[in-house]
Amino acid sequence: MKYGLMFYENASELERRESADAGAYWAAWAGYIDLLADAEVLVRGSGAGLEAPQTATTIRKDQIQDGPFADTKEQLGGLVVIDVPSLDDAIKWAQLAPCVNAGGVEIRPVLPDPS
Amino acid sequence: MKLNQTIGASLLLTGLLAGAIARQNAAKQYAIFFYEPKAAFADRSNANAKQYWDTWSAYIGGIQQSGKMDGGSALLPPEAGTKITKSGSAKLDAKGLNLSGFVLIHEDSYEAALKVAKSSPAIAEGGAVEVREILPMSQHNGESR
Repeated sequence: MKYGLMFYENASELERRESADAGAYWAAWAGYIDLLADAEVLVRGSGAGLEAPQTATTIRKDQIQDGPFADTKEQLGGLVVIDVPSLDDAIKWAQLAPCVNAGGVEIRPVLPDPS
Repeated sequence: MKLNQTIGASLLLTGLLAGAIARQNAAKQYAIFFYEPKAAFADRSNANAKQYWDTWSAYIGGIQQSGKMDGGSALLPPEAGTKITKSGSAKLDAKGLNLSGFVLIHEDSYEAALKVAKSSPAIAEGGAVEVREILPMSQHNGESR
């Protein structure tokens, strides 16, 4: 079963990207992605790290606004899709994400391909 | 590719290289996130299901045919989701608009990516669409082209 893992980060965590701590920040994410790849649960080409939320544009029927969709303390920072046997496995991998203590991880089953 | 040994140096190099390649090609990668209202999630499996899926298939098929699609997934409804934080796991809040799927595309400009986003069925449904540029260095995690 495929699961999308959406990584949410709070403001101070996102600020680490531009701080003296940036090396450690990116190393933690590179290590995590490597962990998923080495365990062969990462769906190839499914992942993306996102530019800062303030660079986003959100479009609705009657408006286009600068900034991300979510008006919340935690913002989407990136995502991957993993292929694991069960939700319990997905939870186990999500709990290892660098942002779990500085935001959270949303786990969503991916709609199976129609066939 | 193993980054474990010289993570800092490789990451920097990966970032710089990817950045240089992206500038050379002018094309950048963008993630487009679709947020749909509860009624649209319901349309996936009620009497409107055919129309719902036909509309989305036409939209996604159009991006595929343009050759700009790098990936994407449709997600099961928020009720099937789980949120993991330091305090444990919890059900998602399914009120309002919710993330329903995303596509990863490459385009020559931000405006071109916005144009793709604007034609999404989520807009007509009363939902929202968010466009975000993808970090060049994140390309190391998969083969997205």
